[in-house]
Amino acid sequence: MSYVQWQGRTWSLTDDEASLIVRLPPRDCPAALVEWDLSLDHFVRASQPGPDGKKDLIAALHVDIGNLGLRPRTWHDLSGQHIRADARWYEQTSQSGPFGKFAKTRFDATAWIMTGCADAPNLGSTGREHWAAVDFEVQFGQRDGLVFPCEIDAWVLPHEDFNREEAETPEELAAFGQGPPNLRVITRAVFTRGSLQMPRCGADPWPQAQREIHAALGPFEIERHEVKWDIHRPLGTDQYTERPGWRSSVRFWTAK
Amino acid sequence: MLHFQDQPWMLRHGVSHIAARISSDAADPRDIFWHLDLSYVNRAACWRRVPWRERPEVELSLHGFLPPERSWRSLEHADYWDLTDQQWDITRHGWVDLTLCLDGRRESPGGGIGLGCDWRVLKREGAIFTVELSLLPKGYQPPPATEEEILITADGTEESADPDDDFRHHPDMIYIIEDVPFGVVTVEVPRNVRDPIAFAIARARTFINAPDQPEQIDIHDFAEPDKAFGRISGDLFVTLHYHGFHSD
Repeated sequence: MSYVQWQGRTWSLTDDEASLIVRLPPRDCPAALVEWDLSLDHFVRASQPGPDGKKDLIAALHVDIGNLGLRPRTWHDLSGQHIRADARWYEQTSQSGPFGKFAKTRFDATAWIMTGCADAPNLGSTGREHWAAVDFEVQFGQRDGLVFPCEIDAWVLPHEDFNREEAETPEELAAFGQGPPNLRVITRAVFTRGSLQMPRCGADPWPQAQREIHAALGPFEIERHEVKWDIHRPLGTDQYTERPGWRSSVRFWTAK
Repeated sequence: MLHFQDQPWMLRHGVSHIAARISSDAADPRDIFWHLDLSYVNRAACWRRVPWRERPEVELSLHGFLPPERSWRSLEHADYWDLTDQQWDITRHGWVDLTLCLDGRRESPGGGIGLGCDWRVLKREGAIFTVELSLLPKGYQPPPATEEEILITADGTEESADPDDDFRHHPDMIYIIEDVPFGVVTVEVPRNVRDPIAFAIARARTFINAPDQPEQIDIHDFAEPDKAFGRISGDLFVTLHYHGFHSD
């Protein structure tokens, strides 16, 4: 179940669910931390099927929170976690990714509403598609299997207003969430997948990766995994090729 | 962790590392060019809406130092702290290049060339070195000696204040304590070598006792027409990454 209130208008309930995605740091990267991301696609479809028998998509909202800044001892401890993304939270959670890029610690929302559709007027008009939030709150409820009830309140700004060249003033930093939030979501967040970088550890990194995953996150069932070997470009060629037995990135999916 | 101007700074992984360069004419471990690169971005909340590449940055490179012994591991014994000007040997202890990007301008104050740069390695765990470094800001003069200051401790005993405290706590003082990985070794390999990678690994083993299994190897041929960044060299450049989160 996914409930969305966008710019004061309530969209139709859907069966969509949010994904909780975890990234584990390479163990040879000092001080890098586990990152949890939250991603939701809420798709509203027309109430009646079209001529082709399919219900057309009339509105879509994609919410992406990169790096929730959570440091649970195990993934079970996501239960009851509350994030209030204020200035203090931002300073505590900002970190460098393992490759020197700033870990994405931000809230992005992409809203799309089809105009001229009979159902669309009830949804409002975004005017702009890309939004971002400085201030937001996320509350996780008690775990049920891999699922956590999740509520999000966010004060989103048009993307072009979000980015700026000057630092914020102390007054701007102190002003958290002015007025009611213009994005509210109630949904189910499902721990769906994750990834980690593996150093060279032989022809099959999976057994070691599995041990590291469970040591970092606690027990859960993994349905499938995928190993992608690092690529390199042999001298004198333009083609990049995989190099089995070298460094790899491992992705895994939970048994949802 | 970097202490500078009372701001919170975030180390950038990948680009921050200990590295060595072995030129094709190197004949002795003393010919190896070592450097320690550290890169920081301001992570204060007031910058959260500014793209991170436009935020204040501190880049520090310590060049030209030598490990106490032939092996890269012997860097754990590097201790060049509180050396006097007479003791400081630029060819062994290194020199600092400092680039500050504050207020939108990039400046290279020149760092402390043989002066005011104290550094040492506190410990090593595997390939991670804990490095401590302090650097006097350019032009900063320690206050003239005054009467000895006496501090009273909690249990009532009297202790002399550390005379270095004043400048160590100066807001423009750069003080770093950081876990830094070894590293990246770039080996210049003559073009006519049959196996450039084997040659590079052998050179790295000979000169700095580097492990035989890097995490990643890149070969750069700057003589390739589309890769000639204004410099054509007869040598190939083989880069051996001994930690995996590199920045190539």
